[in-house]
Amino acid sequence: MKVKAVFKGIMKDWVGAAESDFDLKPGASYGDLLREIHLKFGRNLPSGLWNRKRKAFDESVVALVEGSGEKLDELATPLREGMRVDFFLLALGG
Amino acid sequence: MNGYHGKFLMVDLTAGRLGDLELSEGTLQKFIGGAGLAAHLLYDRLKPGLDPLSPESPLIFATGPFTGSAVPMVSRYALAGLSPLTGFWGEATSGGQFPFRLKGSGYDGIMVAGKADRPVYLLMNNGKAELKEASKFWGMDTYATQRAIKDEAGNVSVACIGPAGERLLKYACVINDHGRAAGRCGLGAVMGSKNLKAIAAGGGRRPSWADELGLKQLAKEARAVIKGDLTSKGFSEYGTLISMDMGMVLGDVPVKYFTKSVFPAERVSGQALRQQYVIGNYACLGCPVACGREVQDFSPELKTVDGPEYETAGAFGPLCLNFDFNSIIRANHLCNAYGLDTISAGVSIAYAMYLYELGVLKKSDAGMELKWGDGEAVVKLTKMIIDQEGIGKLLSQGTLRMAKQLGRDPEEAAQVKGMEIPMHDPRAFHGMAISYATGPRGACHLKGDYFNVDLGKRVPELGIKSRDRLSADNDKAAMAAKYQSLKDLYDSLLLCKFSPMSATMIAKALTLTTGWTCSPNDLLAAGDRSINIKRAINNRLGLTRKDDKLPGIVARALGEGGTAGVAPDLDRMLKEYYAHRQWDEETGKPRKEKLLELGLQQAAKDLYEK
Repeated sequence: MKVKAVFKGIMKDWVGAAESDFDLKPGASYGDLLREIHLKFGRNLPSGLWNRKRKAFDESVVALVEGSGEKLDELATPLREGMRVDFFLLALGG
Repeated sequence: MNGYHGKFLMVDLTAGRLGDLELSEGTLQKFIGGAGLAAHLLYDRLKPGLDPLSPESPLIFATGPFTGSAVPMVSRYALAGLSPLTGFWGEATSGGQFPFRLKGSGYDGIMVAGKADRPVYLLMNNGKAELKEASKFWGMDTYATQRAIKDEAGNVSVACIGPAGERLLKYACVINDHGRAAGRCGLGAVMGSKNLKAIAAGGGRRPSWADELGLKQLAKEARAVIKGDLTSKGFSEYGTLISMDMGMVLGDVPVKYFTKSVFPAERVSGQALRQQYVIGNYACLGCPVACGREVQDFSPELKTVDGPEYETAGAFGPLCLNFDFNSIIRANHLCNAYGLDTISAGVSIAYAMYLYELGVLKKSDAGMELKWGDGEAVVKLTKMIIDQEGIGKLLSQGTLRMAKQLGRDPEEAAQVKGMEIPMHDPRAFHGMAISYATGPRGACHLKGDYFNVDLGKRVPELGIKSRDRLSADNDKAAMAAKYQSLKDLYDSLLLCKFSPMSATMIAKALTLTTGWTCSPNDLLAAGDRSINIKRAINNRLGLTRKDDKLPGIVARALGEGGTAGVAPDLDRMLKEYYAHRQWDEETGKPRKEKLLELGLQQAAKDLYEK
């Protein structure tokens, strides 16, 4: 299934891409998407952005489903065909 | 005593008299410093019905125990008194160099009362203090005032009012170190009412630290935490505007006077600011983050101008459907130069545009069209507020008084207890709804900034966890109350809200500074005490449970964006919040036993025995 990852704000600078399309197996999860992102961009990521143990971005990164604003936390969360996931740095306030 | 000088400067402007107010270690341990200590000092001088702009109304400048130490992100001060905007407790904080200099002057803070018979400024330096003639500075903007006083007084840092404070505008602020603002609650007007133009502070006096080496080591560790903290890196890179695009997706950024939440965020983001202008960073003293922005080569008249913070850009921007950075920067500059709170100004302007669309305000009332998205109108209205010209006089009253004067339903006024709602829509994070409704100074996004919790910033030591942001379930209100207490304590410690130090690390820093044994739970207890004494002040000024509410304009669900169809269940959260705080559901007062448990005997007596 096709899923789009969009890297917003400073995430775009850090990942080195504004967005990327992924072709995942049917029934793929959020964790599967993260693994693909890491395979594609892992070498570019600045230190601390990737949590090797959890195989996910650091907890300072927020993943939101486009449209609903649903926050993806659990790696087992199933994704849907055509879904777009926006990645932001958790920096809110001021 | 460690961490403090143990004294405030007492200033009686009516008599022109200066003296010392000694503070016991017991008092400091109880109230810590900053706004918490200010609340204690104000409490004893409080009389119901006290006019915030009367000579008897005290105004307090306070540093904290960390101020002047090696701990990073601590160069902040608190300003407190009664708010002319709300009539209740008022406080604001600001960073820069001024807080270090204020403590370096040999005092932990200043309590000002009375009214000078002519404009004066207070000069404090290395244990000495004097009142100086300031008639020649009256009428000057804040930037010119700072320059002129530095020319006269030498190596000092200056906190001052501009013409907005001199004209007693209800949301006038106090500006220090170029364009840093103690913005909210209108305390600039309190300063103006006393004919006090500025405080100029200098000197290198530092208190002793309980464990100086230990504190230096902890400061080093704290710097490493900051260096590794991605959020700090983000603020460093793009300033507080970094949050604009994520805020839009979540429905956090209010749009078109709180009636919309979808807008082209990329036009007013931190990235857009950097692409459109030459940007420099600004840091408070000792801060490795440097979240402040300076716009260079802005215009022939303004070579370097302060960049807008997120709140300012939100209020003059999307809230007015305005996506023109040039006008946002100019409106921000006017507020900084003349000393006006950008949030209350922007919300009042957006309300005027809302009323214009409804046909309540007409072109003949405003002297111009008030169309959504008109950046030039935003700038012009800001200046009209400052100059008290035409419709600017109405807008300078804030939204609640605007609604009343125009015979509108007060539910339309985007405020809590009279203070305008900041740029975090409470529909996007229901914990913010309870924080706004119960905040000691009205709608306050700083205690607590619960949006950060619901996005994943936990406080494990205190059991504060991330939950569904659009729900009141899972002890949301009790957790928001705890977080509110913790963040209130930051304003007593005078620790930047962006500090990534853990509660354990903060407690350790306080131990090493003062010698007291402190745990995260002790921090929470001190925060609870601070919240409750401010609540008691407000209760004595007439605040009841019915004041703990959100206006209809932000309580109704929106039909679009990240919060579509969802509104916070405030009644449910208030019940839980009151139970957690041990506040009386009928009267809104802290229960007597709670006040006694916190050591607030006088408040217990005043609220229950008089």
